Amino acid sequence: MDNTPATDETLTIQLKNGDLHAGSVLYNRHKKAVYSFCLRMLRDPTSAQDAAQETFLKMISKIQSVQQGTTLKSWLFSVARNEVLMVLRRNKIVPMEPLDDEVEAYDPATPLSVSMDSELREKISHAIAQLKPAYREAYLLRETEGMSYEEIASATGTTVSAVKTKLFKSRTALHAMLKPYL
Amino acid sequence: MNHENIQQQISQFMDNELPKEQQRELFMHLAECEECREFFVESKRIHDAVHTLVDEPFPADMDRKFSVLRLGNADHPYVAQKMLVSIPSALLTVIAAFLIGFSLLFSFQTLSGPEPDRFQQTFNDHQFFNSQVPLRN
Repeated sequence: MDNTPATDETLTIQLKNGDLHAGSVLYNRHKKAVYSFCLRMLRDPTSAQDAAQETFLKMISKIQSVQQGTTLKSWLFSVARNEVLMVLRRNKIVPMEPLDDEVEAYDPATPLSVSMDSELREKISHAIAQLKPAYREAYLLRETEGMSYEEIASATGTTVSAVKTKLFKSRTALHAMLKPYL
Repeated sequence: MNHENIQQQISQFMDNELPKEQQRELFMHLAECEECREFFVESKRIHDAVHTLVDEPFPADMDRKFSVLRLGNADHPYVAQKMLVSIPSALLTVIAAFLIGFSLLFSFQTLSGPEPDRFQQTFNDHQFFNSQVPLRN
């Protein structure tokens, strides 16, 4: 008997055919990553939960729009990204700025908070939170989700070249913010 | 090669996306340039530390909200479609069962009805005949 877990691709096809158990498996497989991404983007557990919840409801109701050649993971994160974007716009927190080489990846006027404790990890978390959303999303998708450049480009509706630039700028920004603690 | 180009290469190297040939060039530059080497070491430290970041606890009530997935979600187009199909089907089945039941009952009455009537009529006729015709000696 084959005990290999079903791939996302197989489960997506099953869900498209109305198998809600497949949807349940996909939900359990991706829930933590999607929630974690939403939380790191929004920095508010309630908003993050709402965004993640909407993402999975859309997975169920709009699964037909996952096209062949697109991975479910990048599709899910593109939905999650849109949900995050809506919350950011609704709360007028920070608009998602289009990629511009001249735009700083973070606001140098708001240096890392002095309330940070001595742990490097906490400093890093805080520094990531200081990145502007357009950079933060690319950085998180790469570093915490391990997505390829192509997947990030697909999830964020941009090009591979733009993804490379976002990652590079995010890293230089993090380096600048964290240099005093390294 | 300027420092910014090198830092871009370092970024791609950390993503395992830098081609081998460029990796060789990168390390040749790093061997010579202290500024870039420092950037590489410190960026690598951040990169490694990011991978040890602990996720926030997952909210337990989110699972409860999604338990509907396991039970079936009426908003799902397929579930809705199945419901749309199944409700009229059930009604049609009930109506058809009634119709078949009535027809069977009617047929049974039609088939079985005339026999006792004819028998009764014959019996009556016989009685009448018997009553009208005097017995012979």
